[in-house]
Amino acid sequence: MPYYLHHYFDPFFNHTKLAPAVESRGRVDHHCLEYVQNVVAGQVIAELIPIAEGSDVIDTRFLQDSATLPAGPNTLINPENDKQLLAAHHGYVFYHEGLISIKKLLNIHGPVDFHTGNVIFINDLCVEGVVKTGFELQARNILIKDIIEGANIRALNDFIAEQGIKGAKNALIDAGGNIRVAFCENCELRSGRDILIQGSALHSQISVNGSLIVKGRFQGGKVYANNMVYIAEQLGGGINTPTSIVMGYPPTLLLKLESIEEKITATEAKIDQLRVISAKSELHKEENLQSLTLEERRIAALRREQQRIMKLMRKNANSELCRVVVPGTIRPGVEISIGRHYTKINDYLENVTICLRDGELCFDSPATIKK
Amino acid sequence: MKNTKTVRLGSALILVYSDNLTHEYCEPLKEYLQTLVTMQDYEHMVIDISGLGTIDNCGLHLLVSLTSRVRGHGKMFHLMSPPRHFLELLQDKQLLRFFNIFRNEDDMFSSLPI
Repeated sequence: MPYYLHHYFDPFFNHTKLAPAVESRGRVDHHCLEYVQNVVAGQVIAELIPIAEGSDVIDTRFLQDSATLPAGPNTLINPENDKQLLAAHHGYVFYHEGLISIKKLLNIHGPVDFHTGNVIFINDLCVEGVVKTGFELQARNILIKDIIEGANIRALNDFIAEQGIKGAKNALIDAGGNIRVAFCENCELRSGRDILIQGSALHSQISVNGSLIVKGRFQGGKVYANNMVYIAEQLGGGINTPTSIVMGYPPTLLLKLESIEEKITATEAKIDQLRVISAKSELHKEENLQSLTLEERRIAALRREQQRIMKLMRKNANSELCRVVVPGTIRPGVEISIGRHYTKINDYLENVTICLRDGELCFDSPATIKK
Repeated sequence: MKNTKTVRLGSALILVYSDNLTHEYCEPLKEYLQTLVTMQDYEHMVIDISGLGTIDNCGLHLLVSLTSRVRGHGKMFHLMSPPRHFLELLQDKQLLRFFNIFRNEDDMFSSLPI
């Protein structure tokens, strides 16, 4: 009996011949090229379907006489149905030498630009070229071997930028695990664990659940941290370069609370405006009723979330363990707050550690004790 | 499409899905979702899966490919009110952080831009 091999992916996919996705009204999106065909471990990727003699077949190229599945690396025959081929790992699927294969690591040999589009991958990703402004990447662990421009990158685990980040005030790097970068400027880094910056961090916003280590300067920008901040050479850039460190609470909660407070202010203004318009006449009231109901629902939800986050912040406060360690220089103008305690540095300081002790911010010198 | 309902909320398109998401359900749903993805006038796609029944690896793959598609278009994709068995599946497959997840409607309202 002949069999038809039905694919649950595009067997003719070729990453060198990609076309932009067509949106509604005939527009095309050059950022969406679908560079990769993701598969989930355990998913059916191909299936043999018995064909009755004389029946119509969609594609004769996948007709075969034997019930043999073209199982390549990282695939397996379904133990419950020997006509189905499953993915053994998360990765991307493709035909290699006539076999359906899955690769766990996606290697992009050039830049991420209009040749690749945005890349959303389920497993590990390595990019050998530049990641251009305006593009998005998401993968489990990400290694970028060249410069990152104003791109939006999300790593589920660790992230490494070997050549650094020139963010042009647009780059956002969000990693669930550790972040290691050569240097960074004009960007935002968020890490679920620790961040190591091998050079300097300039005009960047950094939020880190664990520790931040900067081997060069941290000049301009804001740090939200919940453990230790170590700046080897220089913290701050003078009065005209606003630099601040906020510690003592989980950064994700702190950022979320800031965003909620902004939204509450904006929503309250919107509600006031809608009420003024609605008061003009019955017709105005009727017209704005739906918007007003929505905004009232929104503000109630925002206030509930605000309460929940404040409760979580109080529960997870970590002020006593937070410290800023600077073996180099702290320049005037740097603002430091640990928990509810705040200080602004007004003079040059050398080789100090700032921490909270007995309810006060203390300056200890030397910053580190060599044994 | 049976067992689905779409709602607009500002810049978000909310799709409420309440059925199983297994191999046999995936093909028809995939076509429907791909049509939604190509619409231009939203910034966030939220799928409310509070009524999700059984889900298998094929269903999970559908959500993964939908995420890739939506984010490929430079838009955001979120799941809302995931049931416990779905979260356990994500944990098991190490895909918990792959998706943006809203715990409930309050979380959605506080996370989406105004």
